[in-house]
Amino acid sequence: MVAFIQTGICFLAVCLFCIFLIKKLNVPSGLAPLAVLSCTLLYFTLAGCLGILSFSVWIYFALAIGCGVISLVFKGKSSNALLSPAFLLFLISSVGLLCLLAARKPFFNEWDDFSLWGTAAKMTVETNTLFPAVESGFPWAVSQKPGLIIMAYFFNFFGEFAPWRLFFSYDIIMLAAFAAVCSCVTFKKWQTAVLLYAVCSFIPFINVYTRMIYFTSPYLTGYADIPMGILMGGGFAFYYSATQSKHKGNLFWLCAIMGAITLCKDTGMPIALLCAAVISMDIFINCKGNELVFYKAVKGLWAKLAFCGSIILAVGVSYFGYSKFLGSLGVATATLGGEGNMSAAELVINGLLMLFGLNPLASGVPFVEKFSLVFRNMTNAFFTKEITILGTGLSVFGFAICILIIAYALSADKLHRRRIALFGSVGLLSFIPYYLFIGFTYVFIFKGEQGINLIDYNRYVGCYYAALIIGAIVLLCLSAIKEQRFISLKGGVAMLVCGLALPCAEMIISTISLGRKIPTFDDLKIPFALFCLIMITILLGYYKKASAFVCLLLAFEALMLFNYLMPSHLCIVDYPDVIFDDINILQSNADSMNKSIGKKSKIFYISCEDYTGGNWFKYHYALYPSILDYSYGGGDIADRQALGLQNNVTLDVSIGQFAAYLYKSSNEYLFIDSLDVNFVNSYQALFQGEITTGLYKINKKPDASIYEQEASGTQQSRLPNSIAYSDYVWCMDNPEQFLNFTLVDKGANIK
Amino acid sequence: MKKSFSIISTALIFTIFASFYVLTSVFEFVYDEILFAAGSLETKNYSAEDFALKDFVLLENGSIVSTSVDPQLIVYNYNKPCTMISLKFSVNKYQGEVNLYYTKGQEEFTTAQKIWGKAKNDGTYEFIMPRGNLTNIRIDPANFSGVEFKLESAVFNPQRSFLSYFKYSGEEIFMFFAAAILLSCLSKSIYENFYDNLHGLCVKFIIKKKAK
Repeated sequence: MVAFIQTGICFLAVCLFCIFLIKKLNVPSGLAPLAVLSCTLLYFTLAGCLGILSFSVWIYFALAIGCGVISLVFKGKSSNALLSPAFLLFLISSVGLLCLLAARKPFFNEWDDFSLWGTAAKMTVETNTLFPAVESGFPWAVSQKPGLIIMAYFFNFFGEFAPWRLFFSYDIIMLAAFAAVCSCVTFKKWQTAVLLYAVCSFIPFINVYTRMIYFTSPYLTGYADIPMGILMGGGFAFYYSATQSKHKGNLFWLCAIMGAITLCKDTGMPIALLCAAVISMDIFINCKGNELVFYKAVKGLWAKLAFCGSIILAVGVSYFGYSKFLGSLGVATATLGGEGNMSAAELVINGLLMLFGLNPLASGVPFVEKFSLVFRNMTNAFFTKEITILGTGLSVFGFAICILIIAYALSADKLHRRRIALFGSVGLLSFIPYYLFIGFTYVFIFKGEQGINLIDYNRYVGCYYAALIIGAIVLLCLSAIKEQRFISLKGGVAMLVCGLALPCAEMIISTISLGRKIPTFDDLKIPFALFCLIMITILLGYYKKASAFVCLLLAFEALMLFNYLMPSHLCIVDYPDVIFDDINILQSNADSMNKSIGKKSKIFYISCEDYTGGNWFKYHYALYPSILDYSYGGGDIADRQALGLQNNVTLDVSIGQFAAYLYKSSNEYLFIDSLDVNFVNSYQALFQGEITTGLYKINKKPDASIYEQEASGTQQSRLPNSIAYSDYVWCMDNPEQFLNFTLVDKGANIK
Repeated sequence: MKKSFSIISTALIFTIFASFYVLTSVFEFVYDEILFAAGSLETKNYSAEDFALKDFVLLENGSIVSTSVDPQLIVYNYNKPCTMISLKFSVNKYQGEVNLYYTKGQEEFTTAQKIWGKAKNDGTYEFIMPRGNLTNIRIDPANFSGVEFKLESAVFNPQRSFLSYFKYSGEEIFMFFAAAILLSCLSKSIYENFYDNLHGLCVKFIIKKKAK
C-alpha cells in the first residue's frame, strides 16, 4: 500500500505536467502524456549525467506543483480541453495497471532482467547515481543506454526498489504512445478511440508466437526492445496527430520523443533516425512550410529544413551527449565491442561493402564467410520464421499493408491519402536499412554461433514490427474520423469486401507461409459468434460507417488472436504467483544475509550447480547493495590435481590459489549457494567443522606470503578478456594458517 | 437522447454482464447442491494408492517419493463432474510448483487445460474445476526429484462455501471487460447508424410530402 502511494505520487507529478501542457501550451490532451514522459526521460538522463539525480527529482516535483498551480489558478484553456477519450483512457488504464501491479507484485523473470536491466535500475536507485558510474561485481554492458532505467529510477524514488514499479514505468510509456494513437478522436466517436486503444494494448504481445508452456512477459519485463518499438510507433502517432491540430508548434515535442527513443537502448539510434527520416519525408512532401511555426521569418522550404534538422539533431545530441558522458567515465565508446570490435562507421561501411560484393576493409576480412551465412539466414528468417503473434515477418507486413489499404480506401481527404501512400512506401521500405543493420551486428558483434543462429532475432526485429503496426493504426484512426469516402450502398459493399479481406488475407498468408495450424472451430466458437453478430448488423444498415466497422473488426481480430494464442494464465492477465516462488525465496535468502552482514560489503559466491551463471546474476541483483564478487564466473570449483580427478571441472583452482585470491581481494564474506563432494574435499582445510551451504565470514591473519604462480588453463576459461587475463595467478602456502571461514548465516531456504 | 444513449447503453451492457456473471454463479451453486442431494456428486477422499503413480515410489508407511522432476498423480477415466479438489500434504523439502491438469476427452494433457495451485494459509491447495464431465485428472505436486510426500488428504468434491462461487479468476474478469467494452462500442455504432439513416429517411419523406 505504501509503495502504491509512493508510485502514485510520481504518477501524479506526470499528470500535473500533462495538465500544464494541455491548458497552457495548447498540446492536444491525448498527446500530452507522451510529450511529458519523453521530456521526463531526457531530463533525468541529463541530471544523471551531471550527477545530480536526487536533487533533480525534487526540482521535478517542485516544477510539477508549480505547473499544476499555474494551470489550475491562472486562466488558460477551458477544462474541456483536458477531456478527450485518449487522455481519459490513458488515465484509467494507468491507474488500473498501477493497482494491478501493486496488488500482484510481479518480479523479474528473464535472464537480462538480472544481468542488466533490473540490476542497473536497482543500482541507480540505491546509489542515486547513473549505473555506469556505480561499482558492480563484473565488467558488464555499461555502455547500454539508460533512458528506461532512469524512468524506473524516478518511479522508485520514494521507498524501496521493487520490480513492479519498474514495470509500471515502462508500461505507462507504452500507454502514452497508445493514447497518442487515438488522440484525434472526439467524444462523439469515442468507440473508435476505445477500440483502437484496445487493439494497441495487444501490440506488446507481438513477439509471442505460440501457445507456450512458460510464462510470457509482455508488460512485465525490464527488456527495452518492445517499449522502444512502441515509442517509435508513438513518434509516428504524435506526428500524424499533431499535424491535425491547429498549433503546428506542437510538432517540436517530436524532438523530445526522438531523443527518448535514442536513449532507450543500444539500437535506439538507428530506430530514432529511421523514425525521423519517415517523418521528414512526410514533412517535405505533405506539409506546407508556412504552417510550421518555427520562427516567423523562416518560411517555406527553410522552415521544413529547420524542422527536420532539429529532429535529427535531437537524435545526434542525445546519442553523442551520452557517449561523451560514458567517455568521461573511461568507458570505451569509440568501438562497439564484440567479435569485430569496430566503430559504428566501420561496421556500416564493412557491411555495405560486403553486401554489394566488394572487398571489405582490413578489419572486415575475417567475416566474409560469416556474412554470407548470416545474411542467408536473415533472408530465410523474414519469410519463414514465425516470430510474431501474426506469423512471419512477411505476414506482419501483410497485416500492416491491409490496414493501410483500408485506411486509404476510406478516406476522402486527398492530403491524408497521400500521407498513407507515403507511409506505406517509405515506412515499410525503411525496414530494409534497419534489417541490414541488425544483420551487420550479427556478423560483426555477436560471437560465432550466436550470430549465425540469429540469437534473440525476434526481440530485435519485433520492436520494428510493433512500430509499423502502430503507424498503420494511427493512419486508420485518422481515416475513421475524417471525411468518409463511401456513403453509398455500393461503397459500403465494397468496404465490406475489403474488411472481410483483412482477416482472410491474414489467415491465408500465415497458413501458406508456415503451414501454421489452422484454428479449429472449437477455438473460434465465441469470436465466430460475435463475428456473425457484426455481419448481421451490417446487413441491417451499417454500411454508412465503414471505418467504424473496420475498427470493430480489428479489435475482434486482436482479441481472437490473443484468445487463441495467449493462454491468460501465462501472461499479465491471470498469471499465478507460483511462477515467482523461486525468485522470491532467493530474494528472501539474500535479504536475510544482508541483514546479518548489516552493512555494504563484498561477497565471494560459490555454486557448484550453477553451470550457466544464472544464479550468480540473480544473487548479484538480490544482494545489492552488497556486491557479489565475480568469483571466477561461477560454476563447479575444485582442485583437480590434488584430488586426482579425471573429469573436467569448470574452475580448476588449488587451495593455495583460492585462499590467495580471497586474501588479496576485498571480499569480506563467502557465500556457498550449493556445493558438491569435490568442493568439500578440496577446501575442507579452510573451514572450521563441516561445510554446509550458507554465508561465511572470511577471517584473515596478517603476514601471509603470497607469490605469483603460472596459471593452469581451465581456470581462465570463463574470465572475460576485460577482467585482465594473465598467465599468472596469486598463490599462498599453508593457507589454513592465515585464512579461515566462520559461519554467519545458514540462510533459511538455501538448497 | 442522442447524447445520453451511449451512457445508458454502456451502463446497461455492464449491468447485464455483471448480473449474468452473478446469476451463473448462483446457478452453479444451486446446480451443485442438487447434484449433491441426488447423489451424482459425492465427497471422496483419495489416498496415495488410489492414484496411478508416475515417477513416484510408494513407501511402506504410505508416503510417496518423487523420482523425477515431473512426478504425477493421475486419475484415469474419472468421467464425472467435479466441482473442486483440495489437496493437503506435508513434505520433507521444498516441492516446487503444485499444478493440476485435466482433460474433457481422451486427448493429451496440455497447458491449455491446466490449473495452477495456490496454497492457502493452512497449506491446503484448492483447485476449482471447470464445469462438465472430466475424463482424466492429473496432479503434478512437485518439480524436484527426491521429495517425500505424506498425503494427508486429497478430497474430490469437498463442501464448497457459497462465496467461493463468486471468486472470479483474472481471465474471467478480463473477458468481462473485453466483451462488455466491445459490445458497448458496437451498440454505439449501431445506434449512430440507425439514427442517421432513420433521420435521413424521415427528412426525405417530409420533403417529398411537402413537394406534393
